[in-house]
Amino acid sequence: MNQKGSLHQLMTRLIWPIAAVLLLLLINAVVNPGFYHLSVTDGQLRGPLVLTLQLSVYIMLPALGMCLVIATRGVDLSVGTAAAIGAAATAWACTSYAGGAAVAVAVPAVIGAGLLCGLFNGVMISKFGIQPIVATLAFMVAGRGIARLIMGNTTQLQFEHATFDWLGNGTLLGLPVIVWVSAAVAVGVIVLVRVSALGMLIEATGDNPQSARLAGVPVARVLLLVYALAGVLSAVAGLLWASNYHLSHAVNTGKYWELDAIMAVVIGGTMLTGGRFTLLGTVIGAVLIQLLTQMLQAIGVDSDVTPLYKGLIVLAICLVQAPALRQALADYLQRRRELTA
Amino acid sequence: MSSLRTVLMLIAGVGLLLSVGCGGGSSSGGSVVVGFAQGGSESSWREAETKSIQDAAKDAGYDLRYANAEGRPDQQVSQVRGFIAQGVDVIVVAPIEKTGWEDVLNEAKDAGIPVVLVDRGIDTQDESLYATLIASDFVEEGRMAAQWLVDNKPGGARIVELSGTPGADPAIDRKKGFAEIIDEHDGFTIVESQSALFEQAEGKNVMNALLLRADLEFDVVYAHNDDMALGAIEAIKGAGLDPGEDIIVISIDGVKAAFESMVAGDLSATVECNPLLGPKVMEVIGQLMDDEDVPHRIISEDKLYEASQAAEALPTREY
Repeated sequence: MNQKGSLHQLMTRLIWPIAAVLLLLLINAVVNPGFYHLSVTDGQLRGPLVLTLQLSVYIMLPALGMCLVIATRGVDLSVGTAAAIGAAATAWACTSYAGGAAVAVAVPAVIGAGLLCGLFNGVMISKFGIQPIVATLAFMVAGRGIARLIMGNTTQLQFEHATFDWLGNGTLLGLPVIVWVSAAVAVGVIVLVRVSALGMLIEATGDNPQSARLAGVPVARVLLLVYALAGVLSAVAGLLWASNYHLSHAVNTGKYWELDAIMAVVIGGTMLTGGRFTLLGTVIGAVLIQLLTQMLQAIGVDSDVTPLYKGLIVLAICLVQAPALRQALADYLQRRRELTA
Repeated sequence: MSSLRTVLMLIAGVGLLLSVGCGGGSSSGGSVVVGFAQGGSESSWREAETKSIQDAAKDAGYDLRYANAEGRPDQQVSQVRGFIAQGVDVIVVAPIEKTGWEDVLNEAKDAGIPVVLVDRGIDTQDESLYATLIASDFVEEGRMAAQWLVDNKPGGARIVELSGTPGADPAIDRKKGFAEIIDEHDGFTIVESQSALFEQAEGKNVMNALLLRADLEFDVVYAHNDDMALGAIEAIKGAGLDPGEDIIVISIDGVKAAFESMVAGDLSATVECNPLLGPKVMEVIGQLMDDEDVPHRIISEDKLYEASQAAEALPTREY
């Protein structure tokens, strides 16, 4: 496929999520202009849009991993649990060590823990042939116990640490540090996947694992890698979350993140059937979900009704992308044209 | 296909083993077997409650079977069903929601297993479904928080309410009791009420969003529990405001962190809701096992603490 063709394809995939974001922003402009209010407090840009970006990070990072996993025809239900483990490792390091030592321990511990989570899933799936939904479901449930154990068998662990506080609540060039860090991670993942052959190998695996294997694609290693990436990205999201709230919680940290992540991937235009994927779409999907949440909250809709709207958006975006609906629409337009002609 | 079946059977097998493992203890001597269906571990308050009941059971020499539904009401009902199937001697439930209990409690009644409700009540026409409810009076807690506000801020207030999990007994009653007193006083209005699910992080998120709302002016935050209040305080500080001065924060529960926050001058008052129900629960179980009458409602006494009392009370806080 030539460059122009693939760019065109990317645009057709991204057009609906982008349209949905624009639509939400437009609705906001009419219903609640205050949503665009920005102010500067202590050199920090503040406003609903900034808060949206900041909180979308917890959807985006796990969703990037989820996107790659889904591209291989898999799914990772354990991203929220990996985040809880990452948060637990952060809290443990900050309560056991002080100053620079805590950072030196926490960062490798979080990345290592995320890697282990992902590799566990990856081995179960690629070596033992357990279905992704089953393997990751098991870890989703069991891993929360691990988070608990890391924290010394308590459910909640609070901590104070200047560096992590800066990471979670600080500002760099006007925007939250968390947003910069996550954007850098996202760019890193996109470059890694798209510049190397990894993206192609992932797509080949998802398109048809058997023929990919026959064509020489190291399917088992590709699977290990995508689950490992999902684990690390989620654990890092957990570290950022813990830094933001100064706490780690075995139950609440990362609760339902897997659902938001899957939703972001789907809204972003990647299909659950595997194969072609778009990380950029996933990023837009994550922002879209958080934008919707913040927007509803800003006009005073109670948070328990929010999932309803999330669900409706997913359905709407999937429907406009559904071939059957498009065909029906095209047929209808064709018939009208014939009638008026 | 066959691999899926193998996996499912394996899971079922492990589940069966686990449940048999739990059931294995019933033959151990003649000790009283207590099934405890906890609702979750969302807050430090609930953690303290769980620990209190576990410790008190150990002290009383009872065999405690512990299940935690982690906020899922359907799960909790099936856990109670599990206890009935195991034939425990008494079931202790901390109900997540008020509704949906009649069927399973009727099953317990038919099996002759008395049920002790702790910390939250249920909606039922049939009072005989449970032996007793040991809990604070949440409506009264709400009233106490409101009364403190009315007494200490005579000029009136525009209040934002951070409510608990929708449908949960304390969320409903703490809202009701607070509103009751507020409505009697001119100048006090609740300008916005949003749920933060009793969670600290959600408290911060919701407060961040509310602070950014140009249409919303408020000078008091009333949170249904301490965790949400502590999250809200972080958000208030993050916005460059001074909790206790610019915005007064009051809450309910009286966990240790709330006392620390009061000492630091952030939180203004908290109504203690004692989670250390374990000893009372075990006392009641002892009475039930001896076929003694127990009162149908046992109210644990609550007390309001304000910032000025916090430093003195802090060292004695157990949870």
